[in-house]
Amino acid sequence: MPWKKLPSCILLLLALAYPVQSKLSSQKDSFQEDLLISPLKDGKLLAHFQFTTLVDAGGLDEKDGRYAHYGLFPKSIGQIIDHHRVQELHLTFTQGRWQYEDWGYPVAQSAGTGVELWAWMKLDDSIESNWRSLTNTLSGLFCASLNFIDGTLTSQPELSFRPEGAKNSYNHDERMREGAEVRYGILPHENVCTENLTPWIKLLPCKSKAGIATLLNAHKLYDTNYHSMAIHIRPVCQDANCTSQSLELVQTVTSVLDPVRESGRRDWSFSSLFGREIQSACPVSDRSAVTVLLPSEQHEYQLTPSYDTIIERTAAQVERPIAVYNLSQHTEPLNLQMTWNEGEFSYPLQTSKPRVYAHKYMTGYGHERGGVTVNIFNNMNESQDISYFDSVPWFLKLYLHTLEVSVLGKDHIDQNDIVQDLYYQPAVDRSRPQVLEMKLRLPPDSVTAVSIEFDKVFLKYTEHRPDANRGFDVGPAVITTLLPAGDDNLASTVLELVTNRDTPTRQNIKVYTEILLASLPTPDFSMPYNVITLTCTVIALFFGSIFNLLIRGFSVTEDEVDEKKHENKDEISNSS
Amino acid sequence: MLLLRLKEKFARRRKPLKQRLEQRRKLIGLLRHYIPSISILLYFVGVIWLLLLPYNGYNKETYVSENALLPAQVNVYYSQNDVNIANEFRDRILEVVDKSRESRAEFIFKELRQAGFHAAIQHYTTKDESFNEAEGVNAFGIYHAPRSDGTEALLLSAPWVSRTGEYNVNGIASVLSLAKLFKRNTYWSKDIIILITDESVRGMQAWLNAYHGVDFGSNYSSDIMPRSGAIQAAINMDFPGTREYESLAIYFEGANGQLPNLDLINTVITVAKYTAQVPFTLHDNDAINRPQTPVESYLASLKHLTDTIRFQALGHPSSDAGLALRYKIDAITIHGITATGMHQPFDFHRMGILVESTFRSLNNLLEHLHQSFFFYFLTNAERYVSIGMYMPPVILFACCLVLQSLVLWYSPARDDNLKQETGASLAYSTSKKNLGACFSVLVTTHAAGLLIFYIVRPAFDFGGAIVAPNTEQVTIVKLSVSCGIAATAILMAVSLISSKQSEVQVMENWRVLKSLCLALTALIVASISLINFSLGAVMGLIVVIPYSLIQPTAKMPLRLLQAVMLTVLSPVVTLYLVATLSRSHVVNAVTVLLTDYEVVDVWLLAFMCTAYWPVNMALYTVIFA
Repeated sequence: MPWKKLPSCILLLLALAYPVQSKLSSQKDSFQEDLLISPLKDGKLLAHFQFTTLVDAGGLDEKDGRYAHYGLFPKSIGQIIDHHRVQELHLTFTQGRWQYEDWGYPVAQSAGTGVELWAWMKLDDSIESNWRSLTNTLSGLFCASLNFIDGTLTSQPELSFRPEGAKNSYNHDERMREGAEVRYGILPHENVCTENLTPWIKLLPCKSKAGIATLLNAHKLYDTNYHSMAIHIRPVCQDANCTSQSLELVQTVTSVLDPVRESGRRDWSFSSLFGREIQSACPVSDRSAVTVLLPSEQHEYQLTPSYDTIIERTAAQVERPIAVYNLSQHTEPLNLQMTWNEGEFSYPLQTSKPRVYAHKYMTGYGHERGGVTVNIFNNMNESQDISYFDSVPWFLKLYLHTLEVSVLGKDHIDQNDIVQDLYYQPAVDRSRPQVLEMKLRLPPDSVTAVSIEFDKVFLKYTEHRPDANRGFDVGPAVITTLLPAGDDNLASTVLELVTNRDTPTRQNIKVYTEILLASLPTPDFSMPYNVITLTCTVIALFFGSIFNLLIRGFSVTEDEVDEKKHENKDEISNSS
Repeated sequence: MLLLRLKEKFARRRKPLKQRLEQRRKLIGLLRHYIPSISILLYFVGVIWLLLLPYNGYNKETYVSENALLPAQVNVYYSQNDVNIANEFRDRILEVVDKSRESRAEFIFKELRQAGFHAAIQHYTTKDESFNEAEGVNAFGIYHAPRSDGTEALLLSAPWVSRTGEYNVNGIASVLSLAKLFKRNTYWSKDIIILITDESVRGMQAWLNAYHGVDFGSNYSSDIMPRSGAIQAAINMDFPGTREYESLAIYFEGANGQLPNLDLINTVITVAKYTAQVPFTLHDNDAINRPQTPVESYLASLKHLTDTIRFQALGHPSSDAGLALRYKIDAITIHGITATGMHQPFDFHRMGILVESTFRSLNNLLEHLHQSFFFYFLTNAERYVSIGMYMPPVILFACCLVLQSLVLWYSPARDDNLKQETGASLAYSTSKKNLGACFSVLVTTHAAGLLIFYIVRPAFDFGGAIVAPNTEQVTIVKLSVSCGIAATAILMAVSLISSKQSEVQVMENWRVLKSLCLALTALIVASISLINFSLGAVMGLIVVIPYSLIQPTAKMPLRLLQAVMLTVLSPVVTLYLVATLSRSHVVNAVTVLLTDYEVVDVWLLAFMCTAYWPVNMALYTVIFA
């Protein structure tokens, strides 16, 4: 009877499966999901979704150096970074502006409006083609116009965009540091919408079917004041000595919602914010938690249901209690709800300024020349080192001699005391942008103004966009600085505290300025030909005849007949 | 080959030189004989053409050219609730309106901040009426539109003091209630800036300068004030007092005769007509009593036209909004004409709807306003004259001058001895012109013009002799000194051209000089009309005939008559006449001119001193040569 052999067959199968399973389990894929909610000072609400997938870099197949097995880590991403020899990759889609003055610093540091991509790539002969191919592949994957990041938008920062994080293997591994180069590109005017979110959700192990990601409702998410979605890939060390490494994929969605706009009150709940509730944790997650950063005064609010754990002022810098909900312990759907014990919300009269922030604006008017100024604010009582990065498109011709770094109201401070280091890459027309990078030491309690002037290029008529009169977008300046934990970067401190991901004493903060619109001289595309032909004809006719008339010297000419006679006479006289 | 053959063919037909010269002489004689009258004719054709422009047959109906605007197509949400908010604001504004500038600005700052705007106060320094340093305070707020990239913005502004001299209470109340309305919605693709300016023109100019980083003044609050992106369009609300209004007036002329894109005006008019349903007009003209007969209609159009020409020719912005045009911001002022009780008046509700709907339209813009016209005349709020129709008259004026100039240039001053050689008299002078004397005259007068400009400028004070402030006395002294310089320049020029020279030489000199002056005038008229048509047209209108008639004569009364004519046309007397006509004092007129120059950067003063007056001075030389 074949049926008798069944148990032994199963045994055999199990025996065969065992090593495979152990192989899989040794790969140690892990997945964590987190939602951080924090009320902001101007009545808005920050909701930061973070999904972390870790894959053991030991799973690297030695034969061809590719990831052979994919568990929770998305294969599409793995293949892309493998194929293009990418070491670290950051891709951010942002819509709206992060208001540093009202909201402090964002949790996900990349916050420049538009689509931003920067990657550390292995330096070899094909790095340029790899970068081009990477942008095109990501463009396909995320349904974005990333393929427009060509040579004219790509820059290689020398001082900014260093690999980040204390655990980052770059800081521990010699091999990583050797032969890697950074590429940076930004599309300031790229709109972000559902078609970008859908492929992003697909990278999650539970999609949006279970876990925190169920809250990612595109209808609600894109009706917010600020929306940013990102993927960050970096190699990290598993232990202090960095003997084994893993690859970390952090997917984030940051939203700033405005409950006040609807009702005038700050109350919120999951169903009012996202139109959904969290049904359960994602089953494959190691950790699934909702963290709420509570206001410091207990009597101001009510939070239902009650939290599982509360962390009271754990870190010295965190002055506010933190409520944590562990989703894996919840059997009921979670619809978090917060009610404030107040009537209408009134905006605070003064904004709470973060320690270092910056604003950028265009100066001057007219189509011929202009300038750009960046005001960098330092609100601390001590001087602060920052690095400044700005990539200016080639069609604004910067004049380096007009670069001026001054401290407003403190004229006695010399420019050389502020500027510690300067890197400038001139543009090549139609192929490379200008890059201006500086290491600055901001004096305490100061506003440092960096200004530079430029000429506007008269573009070829085919180089204008279809919406020629809109102008051209100029990307943001980026300011990078190291700051200890404080009130303005509370949210990210808390997130790192609860996830226990990376616990540095000082955080790397990036401040993105506004993007700008440069209006270049634009020909009238509605009727170029008749205008040009008519004007030129009139000018040619008028100028020609009048010039002729004025310049002509009048002299009496002899009649031809007389002339001939004269000539004859001359000949005769000559011969005689 | 063909060319050579043709050449031979024509060469054979050529007549002997004498005959040809004779022919040419006849032809040119004919031209010389008729050109003066032809050019006078051209002038009158130009004048008649200008007068025809207001006639409906010569202008067209306006239309919205930018498809994205879709004016009057949206549902508006400005409701009774918002009217109540505006009423509340009106009462509170009335409480602070008489207080200090600082507390007024503080009030606006608080209101905007509480509405959720990113508000700030701008302290600026400017020049007051007597050109001393003065201070002012603007308050403004920026609504960072959700999800927008903040590269574009719309500006809604209102001054504290209306153009009528009353406080702009309703205007500001309406702006503040609109600010709350704007904040409630997320459909904005552009940031919205609400600006309440302290002293209208000075405050607006100071804010625009600071926003564009042009001039910060000495105060650092302007450096670090919050900013948004490139401002696409601006509406300035001017609704004086607390009463209701019978009609809406639109002021659109900017500094130096610049005009906003016609689409902006069309949008506001369309919204006013269909959504807000308020009567509208241009400037302070009557909106209610529509002209019935063709003659009435013509006269009304002519009035609109002359209003615009007056503002443009003086380079004076007709309202605060006119200052924004330099920064490539299309801007107009909407002004409420206070109701007299005869007609159905309108209040906050329709004002709110008007601005809301207009802003919704502007919000639709995908590109900067560029479709419609930047060069136009409005004969009424819904009809315009395009550049193709109004440009020819000025070109005719310039032609008139150029033709005369050419005739003078080729007029023989003396009998050429060529006649004896060839036996034929020449039609035109072939002798080399002696330009030295004429050019030195022109250089002298232009130098005098520059010197006058330098002295008249408010920044100039007479060293220790007369200490600033620039008061009435200073203005009068400056004017007299200018006249003195002009007179000296004229005397110098006359001596330059007539001293130690033969009569024939002098005879030729005046022709050449007048020819140069006319050509220069033609050049000025034609080229200035491209930048500021009205200035070119007005200059052409008053100058062409007198300048054409000027010539030396032995009769003393005629000489004097010509001198008087030139004096009337000289800037100082013209200014005096303009001032008298507008029932004002010449000192006030000068102050307005200087304020425009100093605060708003109007270049009329520079134009008068360095382009217009020197030619005028040089022409005196022609009379007295």
